[in-house]
Amino acid sequence: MNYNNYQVSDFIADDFFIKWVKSPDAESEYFWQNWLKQHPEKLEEVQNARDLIVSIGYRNQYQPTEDEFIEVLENVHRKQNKFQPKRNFSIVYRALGRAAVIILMLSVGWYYYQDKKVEKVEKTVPKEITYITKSTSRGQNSTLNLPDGSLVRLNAESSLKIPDNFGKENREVFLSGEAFFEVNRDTLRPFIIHSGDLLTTVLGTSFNITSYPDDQLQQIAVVSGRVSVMNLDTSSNNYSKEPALLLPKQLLIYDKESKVNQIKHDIDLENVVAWTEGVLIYQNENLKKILKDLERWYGVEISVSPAVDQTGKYSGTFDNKNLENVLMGLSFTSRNFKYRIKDKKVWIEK
Amino acid sequence: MKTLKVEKLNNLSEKGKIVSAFSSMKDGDVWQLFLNGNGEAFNHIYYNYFPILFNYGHQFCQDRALVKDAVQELFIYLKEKRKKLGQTNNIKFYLYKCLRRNILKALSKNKNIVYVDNLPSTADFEISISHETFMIRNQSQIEIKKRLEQGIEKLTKRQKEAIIYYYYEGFNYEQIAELMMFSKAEYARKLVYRSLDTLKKYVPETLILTWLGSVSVLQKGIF
Repeated sequence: MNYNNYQVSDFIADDFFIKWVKSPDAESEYFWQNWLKQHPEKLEEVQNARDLIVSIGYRNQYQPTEDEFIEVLENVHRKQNKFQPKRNFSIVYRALGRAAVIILMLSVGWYYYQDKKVEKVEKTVPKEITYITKSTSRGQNSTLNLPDGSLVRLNAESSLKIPDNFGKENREVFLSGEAFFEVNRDTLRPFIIHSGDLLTTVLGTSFNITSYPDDQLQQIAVVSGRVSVMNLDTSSNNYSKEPALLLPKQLLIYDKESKVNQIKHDIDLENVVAWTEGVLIYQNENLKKILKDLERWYGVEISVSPAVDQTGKYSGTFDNKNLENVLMGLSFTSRNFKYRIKDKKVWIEK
Repeated sequence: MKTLKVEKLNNLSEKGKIVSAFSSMKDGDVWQLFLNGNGEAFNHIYYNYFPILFNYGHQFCQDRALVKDAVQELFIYLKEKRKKLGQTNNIKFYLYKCLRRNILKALSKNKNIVYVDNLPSTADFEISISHETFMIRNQSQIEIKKRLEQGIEKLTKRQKEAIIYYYYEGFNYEQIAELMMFSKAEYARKLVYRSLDTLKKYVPETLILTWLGSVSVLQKGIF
């Protein structure tokens, strides 16, 4: 095909060109890159034809709600169970089956007959739920494998409370502190996390929750999948009816004081999961917050002299560094404080 | 270990698509796994195609319950008839074909009209020229966009439908013909060409040339 005299309107009517724009493969990529090298004067026309093609879309886009998404999925799975293929039992098995049913009915009848004579049978007492709690102390983090195959990375000074009936009807846990969840998908048993004033429900996703009791902000960042979050109204002790729906690369920040949710879009996921790899990343974070993290991270107690200004913002990445390195880095960039480390104690001074 | 993690994160796809082990696989392979009874593959198909099928169904009628039912029926059909379904290299096309048929069938039941060469009066298929991708840098580009939109208004519903399939959904003429129930791919091509002829009347090539003259050098960076 000779494209030398092509104009924008010709390009947008050419199958091979459109195929390259919409779904490039090795062949089309090779051809068009080469052709453009030989015809640099056509670059602008090609670019504009491309722009035009990719700008075309549906004017009215209809999005399903999270509820509709889940409702249909559940109906699809339920329907499937109802229509399971009939097993082809032989006559012998059917006869045996009937016999078994008759024997069972007889024995049940006998049991009740016997039972009436005896005094009231012990009613089943609702079993008290017991919890297993996994905790990390300062300077520790650990990985938990839950019975459903989900994975929880627990950051320092955090705890996860798991009921002993976890996974039977639903999957419910209680978090204090910070954890990264990789939840195995199970559409029939949602995974529910209670943390502070937030209730997070997912079917199967990976995301990070930060919910330290002494932090003013609670945060939930989504790496993959969908996450729904409800706020606890502390006065009525009810959760909000309309959950906030979070998608990948979104971050929900809840302010415990103002009780307001804020959702950030297109966050850098590397920062969110960095801690699971032993990396500390800060972007314009104040010293107070950083030192708090360092206390948890390295399991130390940090005393800050009142003379030190803790409001200044810091940015930096510390890849598996020891505490000395981190403090050195911070004090070097700020030229604002000196530090002293002795055993598990740190002093920050002017 | 660390670089692996970063790579995994960078692969997170845009537009809310859900990423799984299947995301990097070819459609034909995902479909084959589903046909073999792999439940995860079925879920992957559901997660990624439910939202776009929901949107596609609404292009024919805006009855939310009807569309939802039709999409649900489609997925139930897939699960139940799994062993009898054929191969496909294009899952979206396969699902669109089934859904279009189901929805038009449901709509004809309601109205006692058979939709073969016509679309229901409720059909949407309105086209937008998006601002983000259609770079507007000066007056002549605003003019082009305006004229394009005027031209698009003059297209019939079926022309709009074909234009969406061809330029937005990335279907080829054979697929468009199959979707729109033409006997030959040639008819789909003609439909698209006639639409382009209409658009050309509204946006003469001379205007596009002025547009080209004004395009900034910065764009060259893209290639």
